[in-house]
Amino acid sequence: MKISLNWLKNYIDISNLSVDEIARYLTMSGLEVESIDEIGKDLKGFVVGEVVSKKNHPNADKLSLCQVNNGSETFQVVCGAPNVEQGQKIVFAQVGLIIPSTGEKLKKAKIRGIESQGMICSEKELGLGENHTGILVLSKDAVVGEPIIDSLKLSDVVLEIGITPNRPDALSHIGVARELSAILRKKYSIPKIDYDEIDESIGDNFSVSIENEVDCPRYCALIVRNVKVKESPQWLRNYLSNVGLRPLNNIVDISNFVLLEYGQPIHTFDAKLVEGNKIIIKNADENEKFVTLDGKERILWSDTLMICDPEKKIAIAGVMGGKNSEITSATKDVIIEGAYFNPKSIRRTSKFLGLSTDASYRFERGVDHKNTLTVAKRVAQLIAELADGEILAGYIDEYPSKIEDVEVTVRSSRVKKVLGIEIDRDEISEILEHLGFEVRKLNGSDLVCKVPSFRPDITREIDVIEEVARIHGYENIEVDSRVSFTVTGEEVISQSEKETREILSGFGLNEVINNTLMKYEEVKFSDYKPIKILNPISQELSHLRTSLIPGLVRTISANHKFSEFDLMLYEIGNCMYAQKDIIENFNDFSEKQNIAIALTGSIASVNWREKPTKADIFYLKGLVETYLDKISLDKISFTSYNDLENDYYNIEVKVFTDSTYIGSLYKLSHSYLTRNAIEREVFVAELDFSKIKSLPKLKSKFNLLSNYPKVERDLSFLIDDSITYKQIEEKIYQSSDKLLKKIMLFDQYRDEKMFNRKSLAVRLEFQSYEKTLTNEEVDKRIQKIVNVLEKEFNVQIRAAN
Amino acid sequence: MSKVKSLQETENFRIKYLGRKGSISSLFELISQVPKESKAEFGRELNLLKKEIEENYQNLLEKFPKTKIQAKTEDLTLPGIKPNIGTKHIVTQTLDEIIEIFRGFGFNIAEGPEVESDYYNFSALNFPEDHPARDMQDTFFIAKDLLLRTHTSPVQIRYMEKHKPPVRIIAPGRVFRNEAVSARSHCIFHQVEGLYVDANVTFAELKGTLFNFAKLFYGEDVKIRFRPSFFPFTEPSAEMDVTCILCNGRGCRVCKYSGWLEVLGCGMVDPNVFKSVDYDVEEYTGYAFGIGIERIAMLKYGIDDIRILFENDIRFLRQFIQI
Repeated sequence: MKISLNWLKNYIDISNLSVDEIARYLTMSGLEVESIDEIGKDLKGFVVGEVVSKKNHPNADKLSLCQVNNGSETFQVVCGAPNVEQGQKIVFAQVGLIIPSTGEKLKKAKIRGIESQGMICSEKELGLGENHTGILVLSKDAVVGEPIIDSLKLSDVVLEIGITPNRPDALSHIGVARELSAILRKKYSIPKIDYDEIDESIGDNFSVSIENEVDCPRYCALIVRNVKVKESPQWLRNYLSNVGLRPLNNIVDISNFVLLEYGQPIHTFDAKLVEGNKIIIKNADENEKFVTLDGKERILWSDTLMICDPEKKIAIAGVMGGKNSEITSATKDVIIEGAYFNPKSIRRTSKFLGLSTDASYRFERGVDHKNTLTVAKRVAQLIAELADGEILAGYIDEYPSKIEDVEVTVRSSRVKKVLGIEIDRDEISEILEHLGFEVRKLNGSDLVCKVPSFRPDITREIDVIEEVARIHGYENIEVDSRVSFTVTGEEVISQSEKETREILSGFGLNEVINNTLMKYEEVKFSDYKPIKILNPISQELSHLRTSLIPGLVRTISANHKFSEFDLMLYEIGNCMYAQKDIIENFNDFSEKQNIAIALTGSIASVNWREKPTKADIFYLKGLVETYLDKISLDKISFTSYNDLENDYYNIEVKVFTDSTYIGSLYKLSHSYLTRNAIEREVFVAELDFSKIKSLPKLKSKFNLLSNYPKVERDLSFLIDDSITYKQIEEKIYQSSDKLLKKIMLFDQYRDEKMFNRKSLAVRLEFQSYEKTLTNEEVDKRIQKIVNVLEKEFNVQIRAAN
Repeated sequence: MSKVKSLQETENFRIKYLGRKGSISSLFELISQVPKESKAEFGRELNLLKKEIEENYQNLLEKFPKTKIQAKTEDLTLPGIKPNIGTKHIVTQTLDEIIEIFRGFGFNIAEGPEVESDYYNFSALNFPEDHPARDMQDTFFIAKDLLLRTHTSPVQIRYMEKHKPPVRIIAPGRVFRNEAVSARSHCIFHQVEGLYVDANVTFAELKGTLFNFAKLFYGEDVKIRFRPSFFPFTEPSAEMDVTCILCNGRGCRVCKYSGWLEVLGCGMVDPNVFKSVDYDVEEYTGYAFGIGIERIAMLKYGIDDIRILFENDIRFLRQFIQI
């Protein structure tokens, strides 16, 4: 909301305050000043000039040669305007000034061979209006040499104030004046409404009938005859253009002016176009069509409240008038409407039509229902003054269901309980009175206050306490740094997310954050049924992710564009999927938190001592296993699938703890990666973090240490390629006893000469709690293992030492 | 060749024949004295000879294989071998930092879903139907009554439904707004919600807690101010500003020359919220606050385009290895 300080000064004396002080007072009481705009800044240097003489340009018929005096000197100016005459007071721009409409610097120029030392400006060139048919001619009283911003009273400061939805009372200049009055504890004044009426009474030949009293509790009307529709006076045009409105004609400008003066929207009809001398307020018919004054055809529904005459609809109540009854230059008689509409009804209509106007914005927040007649009268007064109208005697005020005043009891004890400070009862009542409350003191320390009708947001004690607090000043509430907490013995929710991030970052992975919203193509990665956004921003962001992997793939692809090929990434985030075709409530879909990891390129950064390790499925597997170990998940097992016929991945390794599936590792397929412009291998893992969090964790326990040294033996052998490492490992453990503590694979080798066999080398670790193991004891066990392997798998031992 | 018996003698062989002042070099120097017509022939022969000696030298080298040796003194200016260091995203780093501070003040952590019902996201938080307050947060819907939460405040309701006062929680999480993505706003961002309810919680305590948070987060010298504002679920409501961290309050482009930066919204829990969860509105009071993480992180690191946070450029992610 834009507030002009020139305009504001009509209602409150703020002459002793600087602009910054005003802005700070408003901001600190809840009307946040978002910006301060100095109007007329760009017209500095433009002055009133006088055309001393005018001759024809010797070389051009349409140009004239003028001598212009700026109060101290005379300049020769070539002027092309048809309306320039000797003796006129005009706006003179000297060479060097920047012309507001073009932003260009005025230079000394030769026009058709004659030097021009400045410019006589048009309204448009100055940015003051649209008129460019000729130069702007000032009144004869204008003082030559006076800056144009002073001469035309253009200088103004406009505050852009962010008004929160609870403060419709502040959506006007009087509203802001009232607010300042409470802050400064100073009087404000509202315009005196005083006008002459003609003998004929409005009621003689005109009536209003409200059929929907719920949505239109009050409707007032006045009629003004014989108006002259014309341009508004300069002061009115200045006010409107300073706050960003384009002046149109006096009648329309007056209703805009009063809207911004009081915050009450006013509509005016051309009385000739309203048939039957009657206005009826009722609902529209279903699917009825109506052309609003912006020329657009709107389709209404039966909930839409309409202003009608006996023959037709003439306005959408509280939102926008109709084309069929709007004020035009031909208008003679005007009907002024001042109404109070039900905020919810106006909001529904505005939402339904997708049409928000200055009027609907205020009606849906709630206007002052006590002020409708006053404001309608204010409009009548101004039309009489500025459009020479004649006001019919009396007024219509249909107010079938009176809106009751709200009374609230405020307890000093409650003020203290909420705010933590004591505020004197006299200060409370002073603040409230300045805000327009009527305050009655009760016995004891309590107050009863009648809430002003322009504050629909205040209905409860707590609302009044807020008023007291903000005018008293939040700054004046002392900081209380006590932390008074009650220990409840409640379980502190574990920080497993934070731990996981620390573990994975510790492994050298970088955390990424991707959007939950993605396009349909991307969510197809998983088999889950994706959830669609009903009102997406774009097709690129139309579905909720069912997996974190597509986001990681996108991240890898984006980084490849910068030749960043070595990536180790992880993300923790929520994924959602539907469980039914139609989603209506929480039972129809699932939301769970996942962890995903992606590896591509080299694992370690380049160094001079070692060759880089390439990311592969085994590195990923080890990483996942170590992570699960670190968060104390027990009994991890893997089930693997090679050569999958899948569009997205060729290898899947499923991860289980006990028999619970907790996630998978994948080698992404070439075709999926190519579609994403990735030419390198990518390995990803996705784990169900919600499930992992819910599983019982292993309790860390101390295991007794042996006091005797361990013995290590290496065993290498050739074995049929079809036998898996897992089978071999299990067999070795089975064929030994508990002295065998550990098996570590340290080599795998294949070549053509091995004929479908592979060479494996394992290190076996033996240890006893009771004694130092002798060579013979270990040899015996190795021999047994060798025998079993030979018998079961037909291995060929290459070395045992 | 047959006289060469060691690696050292191989080296002597190389110096004698192939060295800078060796026989081959001296022969090449003679080329200027050779008559013009024989020059080409002489050169060709000489090159063949050189090639033969080089081959012999290679054979000798293979005959006496090198053994790796330690440098007499190790060159310690060689770069160290660094472990791979991962990073946490700065949004989670900032989140963790804030959580850590409030845990120190005795706050528990609570969580809630990202897909919420209209009830938890709006109605229970005192956003009436058909009220302009609903325009404050543009919402993504997935069904008539299901939406992507627009703030972390629904966690307040979910937690209070299950726990009786005293309640003291913070709820970090992702939120969504149906807004076009630009440098200044994104359709996803993260918040930390705070809630404290007990028999005698006051606005003065709210100021105290947040002032101490600001001091711990921004440093001892920070100044704060509270401005009245409006949120449907708090009354009175406030926004907290801190002195602009870029200009120290002198006024700059980032703080729009006001010297202040808005960092969070807060207020006393509205009695209507307590009614939604069946708390006694006379007995209990409480405060709540919500901190937007991206904004705080962007100010802290001097980032002026929110989109870079979610583009996950590895060069960006790797910048933040400091804890």
